[in-house]
Amino acid sequence: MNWGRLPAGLAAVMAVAPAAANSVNATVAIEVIARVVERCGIGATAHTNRPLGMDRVQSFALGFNLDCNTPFRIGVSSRHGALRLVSAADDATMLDGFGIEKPYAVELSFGTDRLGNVVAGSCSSAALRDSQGKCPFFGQAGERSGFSAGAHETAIQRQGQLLISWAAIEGGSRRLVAGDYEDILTVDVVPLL
Amino acid sequence: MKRLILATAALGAFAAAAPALADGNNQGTDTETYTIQGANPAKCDIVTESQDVSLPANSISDNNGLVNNGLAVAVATALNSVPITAWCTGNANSLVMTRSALTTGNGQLINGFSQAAIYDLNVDIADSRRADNSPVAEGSSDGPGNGPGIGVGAAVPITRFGPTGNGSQLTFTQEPGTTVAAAGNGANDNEATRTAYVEAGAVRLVAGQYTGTVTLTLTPGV
Repeated sequence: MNWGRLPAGLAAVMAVAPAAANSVNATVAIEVIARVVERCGIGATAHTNRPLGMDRVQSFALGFNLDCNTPFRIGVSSRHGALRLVSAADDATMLDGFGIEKPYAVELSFGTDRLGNVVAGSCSSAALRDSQGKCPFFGQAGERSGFSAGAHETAIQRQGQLLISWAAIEGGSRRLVAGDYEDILTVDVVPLL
Repeated sequence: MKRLILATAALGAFAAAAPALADGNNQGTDTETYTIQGANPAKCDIVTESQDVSLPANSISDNNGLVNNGLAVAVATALNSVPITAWCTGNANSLVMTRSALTTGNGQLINGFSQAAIYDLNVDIADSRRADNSPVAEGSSDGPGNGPGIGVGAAVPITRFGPTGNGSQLTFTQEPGTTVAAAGNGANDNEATRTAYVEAGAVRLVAGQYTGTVTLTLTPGV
């Protein structure tokens, strides 16, 4: 056991031990004080990760386990703000006059201890790229952003999901280049200390 | 020993408080990432308002009743005026153009007259190129199954084109190096290679309404 990594409360208990070792009839009263620290964690549930056809309607859920014993914020951000052609150059906006990005929608919901299932809202992927998108659950690590279910709401061993969907055909007039597309969604949970 | 029991109890209390998500201490920001993947299949389409094209009167034969040397140009002009547009989203598409002879009756020689006129066309797409960056220039003389390129079986892929609207206009011209001729075996709207037609020589065409087909086949490829 690595004692150096024990929480502060347990370390205090162990510090008493050497003093009592030389006593025969002495009584030592030890007050044990433990504090449950604020913790908040998220873990993705298993899901199949395979490319889905972009030329047809799609809707699928990406689940996660949520375990927050303290009120928290949960934030979602998108790397590209859309499904983006994998082979496209970083600064490209088109390829041969064709489009290289397809928007999609994200709905965030999760269970809580008092309110039950909470739907944080639904946003376009573009609104998850930065705060300009005004998405109520946009958030990135290190920022005071994201969605809070309430100042006293916890979610101990609850589940949540991102519901991803896109249309078969976009309203825009520019066709998309054939190929593989990708985006990366990041979900951050932060305890409200 | 009592102290050890206390210590164990305290440790148990801490363990029970720890979340199941032990991928960090979970006392600060915890993060999960998801990769969303999509595949956009290659597609092509040919768009035309009409699949019937009528040639101007007196386009097939000249004043001597022989096949009009301008027949291929007349067909090309008629096709260009439709217009015919197309698009492909992949970058390795195949294009094949074929045509039948223009025929009347059974397309065979009759009483020394011809009932068929054969010609060849080229089709080009301004914003598409072959893989070697040369123009598309697909000709009809090599017949079915043969796309851009020289020789039987040639099918050099062409790049994506037509990103918006109805796509890019297909431009038709007479295929370079080919001639127009009266044929002795133009029957059945058969779209064959130029060498499959037997030229009838300087024979006149019988009067009548002639019909034929031009077929464009675009096959998408990434």
